[in-house]
Amino acid sequence: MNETEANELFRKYRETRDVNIRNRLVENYLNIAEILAKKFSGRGVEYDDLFQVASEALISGVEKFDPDFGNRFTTYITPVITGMIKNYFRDFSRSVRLPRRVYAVSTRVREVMNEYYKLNGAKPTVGYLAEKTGFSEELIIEALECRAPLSLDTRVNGEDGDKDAALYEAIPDEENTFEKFEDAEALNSEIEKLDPTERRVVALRFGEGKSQAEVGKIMGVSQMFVSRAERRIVEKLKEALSQ
Amino acid sequence: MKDFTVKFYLSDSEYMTALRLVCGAVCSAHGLDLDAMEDFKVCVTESAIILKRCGFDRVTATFSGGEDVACTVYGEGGAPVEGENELSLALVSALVKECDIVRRGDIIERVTIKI
Repeated sequence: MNETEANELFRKYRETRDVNIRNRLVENYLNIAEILAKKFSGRGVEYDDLFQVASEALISGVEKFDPDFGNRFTTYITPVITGMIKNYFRDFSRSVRLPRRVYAVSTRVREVMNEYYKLNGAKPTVGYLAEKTGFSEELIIEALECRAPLSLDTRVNGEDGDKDAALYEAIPDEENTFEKFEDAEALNSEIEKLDPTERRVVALRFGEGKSQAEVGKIMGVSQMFVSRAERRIVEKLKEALSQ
Repeated sequence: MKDFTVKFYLSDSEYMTALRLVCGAVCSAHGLDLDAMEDFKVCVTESAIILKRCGFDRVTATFSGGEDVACTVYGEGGAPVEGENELSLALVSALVKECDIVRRGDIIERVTIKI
């Protein structure tokens, strides 16, 4: 459907309010909802939920759009859908608790932002928020970035191209956790019983804190192999230690 | 504001957050409201993702501020390939005041955004 045909349908819909016409228009522009939902996926909210929010915004946009105002529908609907998705993130995405400090800043910032929006019908500047809350601008900018925390189970692209790795598997461990285990004699003796490949995985993962993908690169195997090996090792150790 | 530049390897996706923070700071310095700031962040990072899809392995984002806040994002290195980016670019264009795209064939080499 080209733009002229679509505009003709929009006019017809505004006259008749025929649901079939509305649905044809929605179907025609559904790919915009899909793309915007994809753009915001992987930030702590399921793609299906985002697609639903985007689709609802699209339907509402189709119902309100008047082509005779001179705007293209795509120009009009993109910020409408983006805004709805942002609101959804704001309201529903906090599945992981933020550090108390960031949470406090974020909550206060949102309160001031909402008050300002009610009075002025627009969002404030960071400078205004800093003045009203007493927080530094840097802290506010950081807090704004922290509003959609990710779960460690979120699926992300692994470093070796594997498209279904959990986020925690891609993050190297900053601490030398192996040292913490060194005193555990029982654990050490069980680790000694592992085969050389498994011991190497343990040393790299827990000794040097490498990510699974990094271990895979060093050993010349895929991240999936390391993941499976790690699960097998943990099960072996758990079983041995529970006896 | 004097121009300044952020450069990073596109394989280091964690730097996208750093890029978003820089966008936020630039918008804040120019007194833009949070809606404009969010649009700017989305468009700058989306442009970097488009360049990644085009096969570049490094990205440079240069920020400048005058009457408008602007960011030029361009790709370097890698093995650039043609890709389907038209819809992403249309969406970026819809969110900002001005969006200028430099192409070589169907390869997007540079995106300049003004808000």
